[in-house]
Amino acid sequence: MTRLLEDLRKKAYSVYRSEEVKLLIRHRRGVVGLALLTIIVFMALTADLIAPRRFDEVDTALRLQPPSLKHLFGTDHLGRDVFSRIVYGARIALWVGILVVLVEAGIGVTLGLISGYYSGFLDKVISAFTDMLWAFPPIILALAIVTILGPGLTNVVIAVAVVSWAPYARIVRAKTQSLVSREFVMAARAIGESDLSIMFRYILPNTLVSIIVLATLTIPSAILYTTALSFLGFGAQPPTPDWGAMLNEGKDYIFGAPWNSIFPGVFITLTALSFNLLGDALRDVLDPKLRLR
Amino acid sequence: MLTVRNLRKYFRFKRGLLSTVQYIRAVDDVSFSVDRGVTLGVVGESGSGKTTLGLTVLRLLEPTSGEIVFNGVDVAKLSKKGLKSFRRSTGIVFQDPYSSLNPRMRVKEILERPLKIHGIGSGEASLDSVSGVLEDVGLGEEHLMRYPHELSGGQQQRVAIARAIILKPQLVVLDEPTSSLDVSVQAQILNLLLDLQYRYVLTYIFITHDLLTARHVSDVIMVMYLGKVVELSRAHELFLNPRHPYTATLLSSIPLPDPKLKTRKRMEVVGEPPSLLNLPKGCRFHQRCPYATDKCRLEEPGFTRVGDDHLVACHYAHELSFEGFTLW
Amino acid sequence: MPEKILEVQNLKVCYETGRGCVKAVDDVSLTIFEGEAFCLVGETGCGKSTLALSIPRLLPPNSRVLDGRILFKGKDLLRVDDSELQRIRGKEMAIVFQNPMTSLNPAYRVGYQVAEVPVTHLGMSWDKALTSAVNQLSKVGIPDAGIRARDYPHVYSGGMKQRSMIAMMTTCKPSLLIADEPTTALDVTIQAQILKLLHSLRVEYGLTLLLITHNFGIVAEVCDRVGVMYSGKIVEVGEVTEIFDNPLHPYTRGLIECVASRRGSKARLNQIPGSLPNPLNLPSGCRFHPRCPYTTYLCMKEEPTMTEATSNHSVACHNYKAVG
Repeated sequence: MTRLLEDLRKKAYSVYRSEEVKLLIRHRRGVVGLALLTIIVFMALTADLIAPRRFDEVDTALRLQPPSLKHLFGTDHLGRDVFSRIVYGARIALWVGILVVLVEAGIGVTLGLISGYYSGFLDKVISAFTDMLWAFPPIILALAIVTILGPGLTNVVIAVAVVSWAPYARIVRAKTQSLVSREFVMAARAIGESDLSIMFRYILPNTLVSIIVLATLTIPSAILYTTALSFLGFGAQPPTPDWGAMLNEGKDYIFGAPWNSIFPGVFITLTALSFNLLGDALRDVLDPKLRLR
Repeated sequence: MLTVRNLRKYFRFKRGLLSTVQYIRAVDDVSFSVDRGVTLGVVGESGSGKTTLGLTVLRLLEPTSGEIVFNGVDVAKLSKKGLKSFRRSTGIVFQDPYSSLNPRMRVKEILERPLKIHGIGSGEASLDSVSGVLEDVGLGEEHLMRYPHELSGGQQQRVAIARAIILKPQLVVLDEPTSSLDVSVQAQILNLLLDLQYRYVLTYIFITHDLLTARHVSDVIMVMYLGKVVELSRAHELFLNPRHPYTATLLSSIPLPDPKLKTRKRMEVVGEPPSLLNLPKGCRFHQRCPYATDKCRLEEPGFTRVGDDHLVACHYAHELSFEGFTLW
Repeated sequence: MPEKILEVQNLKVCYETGRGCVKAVDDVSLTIFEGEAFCLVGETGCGKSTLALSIPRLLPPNSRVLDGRILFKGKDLLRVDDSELQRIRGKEMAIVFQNPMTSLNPAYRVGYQVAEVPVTHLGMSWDKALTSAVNQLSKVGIPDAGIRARDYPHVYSGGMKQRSMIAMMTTCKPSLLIADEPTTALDVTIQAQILKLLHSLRVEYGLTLLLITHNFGIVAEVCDRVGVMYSGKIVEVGEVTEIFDNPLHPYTRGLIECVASRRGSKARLNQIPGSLPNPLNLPSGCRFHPRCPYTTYLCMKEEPTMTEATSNHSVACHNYKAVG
């Protein structure tokens, strides 16, 4: 299994060929997205260095201070530095977004591969299940799951992943179906490859581009859903500097101290936007059908 | 070595929700046998079932009925384990070389896979056989680490051929191996295939729509029309003395690269082949055949033996002769 | 001496790519006389289709004509205005493409599409045009044309679509028909029918045919004169019997031999070694020299120009006397 993963990693790496990198650099909106994302990732990685204070450092003397040179984004109702909390919050947002996408991609890709490869009964069952899920409002379903599992960031991740793997299953299924009839899959069977090997060595690597693009495009909604759940109080519990939770706490002071809500809101939007721009660019660059040769 | 008896491959076809299920009879009651080291050319136009036949013989498609006897064993009834050893002694090359190679695998890995699956050699030994087979097909070590899209069409087809022969198979199905290549490259690939057949005593089933190519590579030729075999004969005999009106039509339809033959006598047919979903009664060729009679419209012809190893599926095989349609 | 109907002079066409403008047709000159059938033959990427499409100015938007003149009945097509070009296309010059599946508009009935041509170009009334469309369709061999004219293209077979294209293109009795691989997508028996149809139309209308193909068999069957292209250049032009009996360019000779020698059973074919050159990285001197058995030092250094070997046979080769 480790060998297989190693192989997959190598193949995923080969996706980034120099020509595509060049095209990406020329993609203007993509560059903006990439720049934004770099800033946010930089914030997350160097939070300990650039945040002037700890995210949970309470100072009741400094409650609800407006933005100033000392407190760039002001302070909240407990006197915590909003800028520091935003910086630390980037870690949570990115980590949660990526985690959700990994889990939902895992579920969706596996089911999509199986239903695309084995047509017939199995395909019908999985497809029907996918369609049902697709038709259900995801946030309500996620709320129901979180209610059952109880509040907490891990549970939010599970809930959001469980309700949003359907696009992965659909795309991978469609891709798989078109690849199964391709000659190289036929040739793989002719040399005696097993079904499992065909799925993982021949089909999956050829769907990887679509999966990467889809992942980039679903990270924003993963972040939005998790922050929404946190905003509703199901996600991260205080004093975790989750942007959604910060919005929630800030809403009580929205008229007197709007910076408590504005800055988390702005950063949620910017993060989602950066992934969207990057995802669009990746799709343009990596999908040969959309690219003019 | 390979005997195929009454092979049928039908595809289910359903149009709309309420209509009844129809069957596309892609391969319908085909029988033939091939000896070791011989090339059987399978010739036909689109819809003749020649590609389906090739895939079914290798059990890449499940036959609807019939026997495929390979070295005394019925392939149609093989278990999973038996099928794996059958795979070891067969190979296939497709028409479009690019789509027959996994775009995300390097040449080295493409060629190592068959060895790994069948547990032959490891590490050094398998690398040796990979370089050996690359040399056999006229490529070199410099191609090992390339991806298929970095090779030309001819080179891709060489890799596909290498993959088909690396396990030293006995039977190789070649499905239009040169059709998508340029003329100057076609000749190279045909020469390569003939060299390899000679060196490794390979048996070929060579599927093509190009009669000139079929004539060049084949010992025996089988002409198919709408899922049926219409004529089966030694290659030179077929070209010298075609006995089925369809074969004669095909022969005189080939544009010949010689302006002096522009005005040669030709057999012409009207119309186009009917749809496989709506096959005529009787002989499947009767609507286009200038010699058709009521018998042809009602009764499906069986095979008539008109000479040594020369079978024709025509009611009038003995009466009709098309010797005037010689080629050169 | 028959009239010149089309004269291409020093045409250069290139395609914009990420790595600069890649020349597809490089300094090609060509003359076609009234009433003849001229074949352009060559392999993939030799520029034969680009050359053909540049005549009615139907090149894709990423292409650029760098230089040259295309004189059609004395008018330079590269310099006429759009309305004039519209008038010439379809009325005096018609084009049939390789893929019959995509060249008809799937949204309109076939009869309507055929009738549209005389309506636009001759100002014919729709009633009359529709009747003439049915006639035209039956002339090209569509059975029950009166009924089938009301069908949409998707129910037609490949052969019937190509017939309808030909019907559409010949309603205005054009004087030049450009056919770009018209039978490549068709089965061989249907191909024979289409070639026969083209021949009978030529006889009936006296139209000039410019046929693009990669198949030497079709060249021999259809053409009076042949131009052989290799890597964006015409390397040999001559009468069809001359080209087949006495090819002077080593490339032509190699191609003909590797097709024609497919007679013997299982004998080795004469093959041209190597593969087509990369247009981004052309060999020096003669473009064919790395694959040529007659290469000399001169071939590596200097690009050969067209030389008249006999009155109706020209070749671009330094050593054609040794080849012939």
